[in-house]
Amino acid sequence: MAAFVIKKIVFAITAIFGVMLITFLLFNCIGGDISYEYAGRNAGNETLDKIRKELGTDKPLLFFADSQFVNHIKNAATFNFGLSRDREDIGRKIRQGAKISLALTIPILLGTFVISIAAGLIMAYREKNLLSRIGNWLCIVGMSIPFLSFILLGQYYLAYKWKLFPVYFWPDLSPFQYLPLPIIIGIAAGAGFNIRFYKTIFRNEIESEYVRFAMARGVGPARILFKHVLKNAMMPIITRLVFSIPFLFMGSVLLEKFFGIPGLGSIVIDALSARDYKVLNAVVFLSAILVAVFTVIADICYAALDPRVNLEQGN
Amino acid sequence: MLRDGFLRRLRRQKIVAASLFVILFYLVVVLFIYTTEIFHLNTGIVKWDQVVGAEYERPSAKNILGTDYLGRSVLRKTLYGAKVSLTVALFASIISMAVGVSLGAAAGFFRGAFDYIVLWLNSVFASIPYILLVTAFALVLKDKTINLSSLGLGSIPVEGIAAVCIAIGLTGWVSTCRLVRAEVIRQKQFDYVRAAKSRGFSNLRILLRHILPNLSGLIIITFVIRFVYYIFAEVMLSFLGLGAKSQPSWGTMMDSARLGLTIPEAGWWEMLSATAAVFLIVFSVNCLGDFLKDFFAHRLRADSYEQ
Amino acid sequence: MNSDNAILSVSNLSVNYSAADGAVKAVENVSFKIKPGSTFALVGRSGCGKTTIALAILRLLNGQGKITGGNIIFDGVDLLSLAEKEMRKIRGAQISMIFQQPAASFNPVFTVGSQIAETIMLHQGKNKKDALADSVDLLKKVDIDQPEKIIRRYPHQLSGGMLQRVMIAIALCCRPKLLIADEPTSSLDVATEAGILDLLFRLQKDENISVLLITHNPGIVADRADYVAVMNKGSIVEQGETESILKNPSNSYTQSLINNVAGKINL
Repeated sequence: MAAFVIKKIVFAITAIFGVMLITFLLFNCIGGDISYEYAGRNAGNETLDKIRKELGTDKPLLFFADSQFVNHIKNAATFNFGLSRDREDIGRKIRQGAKISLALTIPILLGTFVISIAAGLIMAYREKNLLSRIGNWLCIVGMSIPFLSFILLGQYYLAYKWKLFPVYFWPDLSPFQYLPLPIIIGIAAGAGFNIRFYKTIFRNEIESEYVRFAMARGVGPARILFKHVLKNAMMPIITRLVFSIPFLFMGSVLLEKFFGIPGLGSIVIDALSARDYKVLNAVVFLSAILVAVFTVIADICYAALDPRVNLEQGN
Repeated sequence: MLRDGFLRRLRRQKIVAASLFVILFYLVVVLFIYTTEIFHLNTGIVKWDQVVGAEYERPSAKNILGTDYLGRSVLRKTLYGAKVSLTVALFASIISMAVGVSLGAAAGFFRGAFDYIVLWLNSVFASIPYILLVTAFALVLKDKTINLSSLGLGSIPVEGIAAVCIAIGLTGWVSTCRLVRAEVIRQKQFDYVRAAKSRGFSNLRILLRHILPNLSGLIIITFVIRFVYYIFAEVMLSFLGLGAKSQPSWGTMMDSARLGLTIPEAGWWEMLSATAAVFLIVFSVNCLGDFLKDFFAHRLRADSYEQ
Repeated sequence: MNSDNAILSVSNLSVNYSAADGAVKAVENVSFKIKPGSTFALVGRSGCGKTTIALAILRLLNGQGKITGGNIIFDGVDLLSLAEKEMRKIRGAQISMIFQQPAASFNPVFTVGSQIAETIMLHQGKNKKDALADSVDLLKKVDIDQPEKIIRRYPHQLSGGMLQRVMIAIALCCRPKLLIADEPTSSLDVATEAGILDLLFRLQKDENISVLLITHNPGIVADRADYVAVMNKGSIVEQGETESILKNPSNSYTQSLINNVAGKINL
C-alpha cells in the first residue's frame, strides 16, 4: 500500500514538473520579450533593463541554477506567484476569482450529476419505453447544439427579452440573482451528453450476465438496479466525477465571459489576451496539483469499491 | 465494413440514411467552394464579403437569411463557413487520431519504458485545463512558418485554418491514445496474437496487420466523436478570436452576431443560422455515430448471439 | 392440467429475436415434457436455440427476445400468464438455473456468501445471519472445503469449478422442483467437468429434482439423461428415451451429431 502510494506520488510529481515545463515554454513563446510592452514605446535601454531585472527575464531561460525556469519552480513550490501585470498579488487574485467560479461550477456539476444519473438509470432500465426513446432523442439534440448557442440564446431570450433573470453581473446583485441563469444554462448544455454517458454505463451493467443470474434467482428490479448495478457502475461514475473536480476552480470561461462574472475563468481569458503568463503559469500549476491529488483519491476509491483492484499491483 | 449487412441495416433506419445525406450535402458544398476557389470561378458562395443590402437586414425574399452588420449575406457566410469549420474539424481529427492511435498502439503493444513515457505525457496533457492548452498552442502556432527546407520541402506558412487545425489536433490526442492503448493491451492476450507469434511474424507485422484491424470499430467511432468535438472546438476558438479571421466560420459568425444581439432585434438571424448549420451537421454525425456503435457492437456480439 | 404427470410441459413454443435487420426465428414450435425426478437433455450445436428455451421458461428473455406462441405449464401453473411479481417467486425457488459461465454470472463486487444469502433471504424471509449460516451448510453439501472462509471470498478469488459449485449451491438453496442446467460444464476443463456433473446428479437423486440439461455434447448425455431431445435450427428434430435415440438415431442430423463424438460415448 505504502509503496503504491509513493510510486503514484513520484509519478504525479514528475507529471507536475512536465506540465510546468511545457506551459512555461509555450507561454514564453507566446509572450516573447514582454518588457517592451511593459515599458511603453519610448523607453530607453535603461528602463528596459530595469524592468527585465524586476521580472527576472534577464536571466537565462533553462538549464542554469538561477534560470527563469528554476526560479519559476521555486516560486511555485512555495506558492509565491508574484505580481500580475496589473500589480496585484497573483495568489490573492486567484483565491478571489476561484471563490466566485466555484459558486458557479459546483452547482452546475452537482445539478448535472444528479439529473444525469437519475435520467440515465431510468432510461437504461426502460430502454424501449416511449418516454426513454423521446428522452434519448432530446439528448442527441442537446448534444448537437454548441455551448455558445446555449449561452447566447439563453441569455437573449430568458434574460434580455423575457426579463426572467438579470442579463449581466453587477456588483450590487446578490449571487442568488446573477448566478441562477448561468447555472441553468450550464446544466442544460451538459445534460444531453452526460445522461447518455451514464445511460450507456448502466445499460452495459444491466446486460451483463450477473444481472441475468440475479434475476434467475428471483431478485426484484429495484434491488438489482440500486444494489447490484449501481455498485458496479460506481467505478466509471467516480472516475468522471473525480476528474472533473480539479478543473472546477477555474470556472467556465465562456459562461463567465458572457455574464461578466469576475471569476477565475474571466481572469484567465484576460491574462491570455494580456500575455500575462505569470498568472497562467500559476493557474496551470494549481490545476496540475489538484489533478495529481484527485488521481490518487480516485485510486483509493477504486480499491475501496472493487475487490478486484489490488493496490499492490497498481492496476 | 460495407458488406450487405451494413447496407441492409441502413435501409431500415431512415434517420441514419437522412444523416448520411446531410453529411454528403455539406461535403459537396465544401468541395464546391474549394473547386471554385482553385479555378477562380465566379459563383455567389465565394463572394461572401460582397455587400448585398443594408446593415442588419431581416430575412426576406431577397436575402433569405438576412444580412450581417456590414450588409453581407448571412446565407453565403453560413455556406462558406462550412469550408472553414469542416476543414478544421476534419484535419484536426486526422492529426489527433494519427498521434493518438500510433502512440497508444505502440505503448500498449511494447509496454515498458515507452509505455511509461506515453502514460506520463498523457497525464501531463490531462492536467492542463483544455481551454488554456488549446489557446496556448493556437497562439504559439499563429503566423509561424514550419521550416522544412532541410527536408527539401521548403517552408509552409502556418496561418489561419492550419494553425487552428494543428492546435486542436495536437491537444486532442490524449483520450484516443488512452482508449487505443487499453484495447491493444486487451487484444494482446488473445490467442490469435500468440498464434501469429508462433508463426514467426515480426512484432510490427502483428501490430499492424493483426491487432489494428481488430480496432477498426473503435477507431471509426472515436473518429466520429472527435470530429463532432472539434467542430465545437473550432467554434470556441474562433469566438475567442484565435480562429481564421480572414474567412467566415460558424464561430466567427456567432461572435459577430453577439454584437448584433446587443442592438434590439438585430443579429439573431445570423446567430440562428450559424447554430442551425452546426446543429444539422453535428446531429447527423451523432446519429451516424450511434448507428456505427450499434453496428460494431452487434458484430462483436454476433459470435455469441446465443449461448 | 397435470393429468399427464409432468413437472414441466412446453408446447408449441416459438420465440423471435428482433434485430435491426428484421426478426429472426430462434425457436419454432418446440414441445416437450419433463417427468418429475427425471433428467431431460436438450442437445444441439451452439446457436440452435437451446438457451433461448431455458430463458423463455424463466421468462428472462430480455430486450430483443419475444415469445410469439405456445404454452409453458410448470407444476400445473401457466407460466406465461403469471404476473411478473408471481414469476419472481418461482425463479430461484421452484425453478432454478445454472449458467454456462460461472465467472461472469456472479456480481464481481459482492462476496459469494452474500449472493447465496441474498437468495435465501428473498425466498425464505430469513435474516442475514441465518441465511449466511445456511450458506455454509449448502457449501458443505457441494463438497467445498472450509466453507466459512469461502463465503467471505469475492468471485474473482475462486476458480471456475469452485464458482460452479457455489452456483449449484445457490440453485439448490430453496429445494427447487426443476433445475435448468445450461451447459454447466462447457467452460470448465475435463477433469473438473466430471466432478461437477457427478455432484449435480448425486444431489438430484438426493433431493429428487427434475433436471433440464442443456448441452452441445451428446457424450455427457448418454449415461446421465433419461430423455433426450435433439435440436437443430430452432426446432426439435427428434426426441425420446436416451438409449433408443443415441443407439438408433432416425434423423440424419442426430447421426452426424453423434458421429462427431463417436468413440467418446460408451453405449
